[in-house]
Amino acid sequence: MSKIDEVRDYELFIGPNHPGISGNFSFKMKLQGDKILSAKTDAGYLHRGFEKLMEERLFIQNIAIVCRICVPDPDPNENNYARAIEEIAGIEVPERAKWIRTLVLELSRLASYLFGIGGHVATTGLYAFSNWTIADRDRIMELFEELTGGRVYHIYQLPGGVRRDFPDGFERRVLEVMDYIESRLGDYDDLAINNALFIKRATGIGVITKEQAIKWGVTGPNLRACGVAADVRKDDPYEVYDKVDFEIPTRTEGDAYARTIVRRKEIEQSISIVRQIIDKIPAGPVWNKIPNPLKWKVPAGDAYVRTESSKGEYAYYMVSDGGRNPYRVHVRGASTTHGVHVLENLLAGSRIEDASQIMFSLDACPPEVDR
Amino acid sequence: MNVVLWIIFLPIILFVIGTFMLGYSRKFIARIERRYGPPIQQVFYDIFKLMNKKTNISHGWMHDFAILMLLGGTLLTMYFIPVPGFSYFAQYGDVLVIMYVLLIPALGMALGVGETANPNGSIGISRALMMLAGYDIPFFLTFIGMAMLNNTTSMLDLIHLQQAGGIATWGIITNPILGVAALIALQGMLGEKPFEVMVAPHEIATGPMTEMGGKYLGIMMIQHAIGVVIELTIYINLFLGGAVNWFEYIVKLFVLFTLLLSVNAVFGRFRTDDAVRFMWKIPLPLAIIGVLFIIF
Amino acid sequence: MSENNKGSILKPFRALKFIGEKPVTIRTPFENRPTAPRYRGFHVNDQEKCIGCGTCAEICDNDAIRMIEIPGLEPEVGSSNLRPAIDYGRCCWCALCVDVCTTNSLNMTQEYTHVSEDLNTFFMFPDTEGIHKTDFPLGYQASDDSNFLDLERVEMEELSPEERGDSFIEIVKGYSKEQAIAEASRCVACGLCTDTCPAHMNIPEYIEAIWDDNLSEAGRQIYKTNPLPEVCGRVCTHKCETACSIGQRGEPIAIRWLKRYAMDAIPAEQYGDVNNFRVVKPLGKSVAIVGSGPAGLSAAYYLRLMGYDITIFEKYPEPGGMMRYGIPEYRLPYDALDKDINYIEEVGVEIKCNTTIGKDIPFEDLHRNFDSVLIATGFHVGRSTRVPGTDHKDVFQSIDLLSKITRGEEIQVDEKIVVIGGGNVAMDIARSLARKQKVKYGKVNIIVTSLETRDIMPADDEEIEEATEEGCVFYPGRGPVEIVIEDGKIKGLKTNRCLSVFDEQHRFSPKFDENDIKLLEGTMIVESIGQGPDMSYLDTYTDKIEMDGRRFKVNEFYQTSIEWLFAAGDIIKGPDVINGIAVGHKAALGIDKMLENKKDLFYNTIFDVLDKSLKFEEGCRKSSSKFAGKFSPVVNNMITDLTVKSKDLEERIKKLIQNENVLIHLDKKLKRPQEAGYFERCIAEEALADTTSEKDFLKNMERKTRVAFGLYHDLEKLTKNKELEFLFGYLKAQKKKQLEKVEKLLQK
Repeated sequence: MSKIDEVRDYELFIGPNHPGISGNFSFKMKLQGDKILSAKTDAGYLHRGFEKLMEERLFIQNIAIVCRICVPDPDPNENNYARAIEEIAGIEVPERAKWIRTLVLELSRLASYLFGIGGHVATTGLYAFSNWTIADRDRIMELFEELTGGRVYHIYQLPGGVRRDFPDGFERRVLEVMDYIESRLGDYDDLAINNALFIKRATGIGVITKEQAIKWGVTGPNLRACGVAADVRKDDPYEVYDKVDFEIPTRTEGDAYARTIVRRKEIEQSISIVRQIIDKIPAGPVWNKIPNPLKWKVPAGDAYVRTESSKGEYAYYMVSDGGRNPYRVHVRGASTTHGVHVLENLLAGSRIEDASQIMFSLDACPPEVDR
Repeated sequence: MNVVLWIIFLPIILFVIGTFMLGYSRKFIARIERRYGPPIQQVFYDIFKLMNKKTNISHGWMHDFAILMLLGGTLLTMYFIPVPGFSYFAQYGDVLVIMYVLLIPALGMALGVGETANPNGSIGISRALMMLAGYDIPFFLTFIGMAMLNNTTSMLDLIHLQQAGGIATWGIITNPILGVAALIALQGMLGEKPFEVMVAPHEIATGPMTEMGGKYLGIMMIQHAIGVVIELTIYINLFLGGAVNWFEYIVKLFVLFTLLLSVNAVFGRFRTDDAVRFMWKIPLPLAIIGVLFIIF
Repeated sequence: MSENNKGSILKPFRALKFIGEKPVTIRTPFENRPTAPRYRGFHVNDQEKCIGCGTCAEICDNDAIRMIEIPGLEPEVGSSNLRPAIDYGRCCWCALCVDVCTTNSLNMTQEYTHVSEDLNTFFMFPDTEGIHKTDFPLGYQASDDSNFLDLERVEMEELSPEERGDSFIEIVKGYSKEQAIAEASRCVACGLCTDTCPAHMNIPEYIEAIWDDNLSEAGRQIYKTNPLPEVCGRVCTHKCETACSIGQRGEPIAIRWLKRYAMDAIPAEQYGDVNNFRVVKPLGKSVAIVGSGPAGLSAAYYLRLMGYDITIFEKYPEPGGMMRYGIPEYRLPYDALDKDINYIEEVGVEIKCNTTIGKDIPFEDLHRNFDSVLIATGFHVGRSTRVPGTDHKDVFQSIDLLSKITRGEEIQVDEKIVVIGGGNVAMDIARSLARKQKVKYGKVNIIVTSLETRDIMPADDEEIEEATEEGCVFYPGRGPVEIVIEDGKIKGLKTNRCLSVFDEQHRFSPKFDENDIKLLEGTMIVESIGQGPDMSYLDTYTDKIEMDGRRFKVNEFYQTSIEWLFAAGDIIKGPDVINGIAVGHKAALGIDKMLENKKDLFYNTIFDVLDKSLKFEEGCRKSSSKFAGKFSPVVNNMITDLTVKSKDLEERIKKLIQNENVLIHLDKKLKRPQEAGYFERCIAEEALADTTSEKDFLKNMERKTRVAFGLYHDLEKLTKNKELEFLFGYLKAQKKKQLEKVEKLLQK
């Protein structure tokens, strides 16, 4: 490095407590003026040791902690955990429970998308939009509170089905909320999605080409924004996704704006799926009883299950040795690639004002990275 | 005697108006965001709390001095701008003096923030100075234009001329091009979106204010309150016919501010270079055209 | 949206329309935000319904619930004096405790706000009103949608009435392994059964061992308090099942059948290994026991383990007392009884049958030749109603007939028989006679009559039902007046209706309706209204012993007023086998205390047992290290390795116990007092000779490791502190690994 570079380049530590980072995460960046030369992620602030905690607890006790691994979108965790045990132990799930689970997953996806788009637009300074989406997301949180008893941590899906059935009038309220969100989409488009300033800021930022995406293991809406129509719900259907109709929107530019457009379009798809579910859901029991959970041994075996969360492909690998506790549970968070490897590559060469936008448009969620 | 009273009380009066305007701005934006917003007197509470905090870290005497320079520069500008009932110094200072003195607060902040070792602050300040280059030139040109149009550089005369002639002689009617250019530059001067790049919490953790805490932040907020009022006042005096009494003054302040806030609420931030480019692409040519208009 | 969207500048201004609209946010605390009906908020607990089983504390994954003793709350059958208290700093409101509650007393409200500067107010005791005593509506409640407990029992297969009506084959078929494991998995290990059992058997521990398919551990746990498990596994009155918390909303765990399964599955040869039996320190003192019923056998077993020489004197030809001569074979087959008694003889107890004290050997000889005497002769004399006609030759006592049937002697079986009595013994004789009638005449004609009406009949419900299935006809609520005799033959029993059995002071004082007469036809009458003792063998001592009413006066250890004389069994406290066993065990402790002048019979705090365990470990280390280098390299490596690990474990324990922070929160009391004698026996060392072979050394090491494993397993269950529970669980796992290593070496 020449003398001038030594003087000109400086190191910036964007630390865990920063409005430009979604969660507790930090970067060590080398900058030259406004330009980022290289960035190194520094994860671990949110490591809570879930995988080890799960080994020390009974199978039933773990349902209270798995939802905390990803905060904005907790339901794929519960779904993966329950399905992994069901696969290992050979437990059947009643039909109605599968439909309810799909409904919960889609509502969670909606809430997470609203949160995510709001976050992305807020990094460009348009706070009105993010305030709107947070307020509208609250309606979905109220639905969850009604169904499961908790707004954010639902603790609702367990091996064998779900814990409770719909309360009275629930279907009607779900449809009301769906109508409401659909009516808001026009306002969203006017304010932000079609806002000239936002388009100017978001296009061309954090471009991922198709080859790079596949090489780096990008999944979810980020991958679909690069032109690859890949979705676990279509490629490897689980629950009742093979019984509802929906499309996979894609874009080809692979920049931040394309990713937000993909998420915006998937909101419409999710609303349609929720409506179909309410329409078609069969009657029946909601739980196939597991034996007394204090004395329940899951037979030895292993299972790898995956779901499509709002951030990408979310997977659990569970190994049981025939005992009361899981022997090993490994969580593959969807942001494991996005938040570390992809971010480092995209940040190098971009400018500091776009750093935050790149992270939010990738919807990288540090709790998933750190577990 | 009267003058001495004005000298003492004018800052306080403008400070009070300024904080109420800031409080009003928070409520207004909150309503667009579909929430209630904090109470109007929240800015008072904030400043009061901040001024009561103990300062643990010192960045040197230069830093402290610079912050005072920030406030001092704004106060100095304030005295030169005529307000209803007080134009003592305005007789001696004209538009050009105001232009110079307006630069002092920005320089003061640059000095002060430069003393802290935080790169966030440095980035913020460099952006602020770049923006200064962006909006100051069109603004300056509009000043020149209005002065040329009315053959006087004294703001007081400009006001009297507009008041004497009624609404038809308001600067914005006689020379709309200059008025629009000045309006856009004013948005930049106020630091409202889409020109808010200096503060940018998501990118540089609030920029210059990163290392400011306690009393420093309190002083910066006081400066911001007064600064908003005087910058709006400049525009009102040049283009909206000044104000005869305090009531008209305050009404015009709020109406102008509301207009600017509306733009603030529905747009995001420009990047620094985009902002400067925008400033040089739109207000600057408009200002030039406006001036040419006047010349020819 | 098209691909090349440039966007618009003016459209965003449409957002300004919201300036006039009402905001969507709620300004708490000025505006109220209603919670959903299913919200998981703070807990409430119906104190009347709650039984203090502790299942909520068991399933809480943050260890937020502690069971605390409530002053003034008395434990009852099926309900303890503990109640849950919740630490809201740890609770995560997952509601698993609500879904697993055995009585559905724990629920959640819709309240979720608590603000306080005092940390101690976050430890809350949920009662019926809620923590702030404001009437918040209920939120998340237990529901049948997801009820975690298994409420239905695994059915036990039994012979049908047709199959069993004419033979004395055992009715109950027993559990298979899958059935036993399925039934054992229903248990929530609350421990209410242990509190109710007269012998305080470690029921949750052996049920868990059965569930874990670790039958030798089950046997060890059972034998700690009960040396006659084959018997109890068939005929016990199972008060534990009445107390079972699962029984609150469903069917109680089949504890008796599980005990039977575990003991049936262990062959008799392995009993010694299972119990790790060895008499380490013979004391040179002897005890005589009169009577080989459950009390006598139990006292004999435990005294023998303590090192005494025991001789039992039994009047009848075979040992067993009422178990053999009173309970019919279809309930308790003789080979099951023999399996238990053979093991007691195997440990070194001498049983002299056909020896009557008072006739063959005078009672005074016992006092002279033995250091202490225990009398447990039971109630073998039947009581009579003494109504007119009971001296006829065709009027029998049930106890005599049952005894004859056991001995294989012929008894008189008429075609129509009337049995007087409503207890279990009456059922026994009625059903035995029914079988005999079926064989002899092809049909059953037995009438059973009792003073008590059907609802207060003292016999077990199952006995009455099965007797009805086998053909016995009941006339409850009637009292005998006279036996009608015609031409020297009995015609039948004249009865009156019984209006009440007990008076207001609950004394036995039956009242009859003289006008309601019914003649129950039958040519043979069997009286089964109760039994009494025959204490004639005491001869001169009868006057020397202090009486308490009709029974001897004894202290808590069943010691009479004569210092060397103890009394146990039915003659002091009945009425069933398990009470006899419990009393015999207690008397054994009393004898030991008297003879050896022991001070502390029980360990009550965690430090007592921990100190001893650590000393035991140290002893093991010392004796093992003596042999280091003497055997093959593999074994030598193992010795050094184990020595190092054992030292490391001891350091860990000491560090934890001496830690100030741990000591503050440590609850030093054990959940249940541990019998000191048992503990001492387990850890008693036997010196290894220097010339021990490798195989013997490994066997000895295996035994010691298994003992240590058992100790830590017991300590894990006895401690009240979660930290120590983890520590002991870890130590237990270490011992298990060592055990596997040693066993592998032994197999080579």
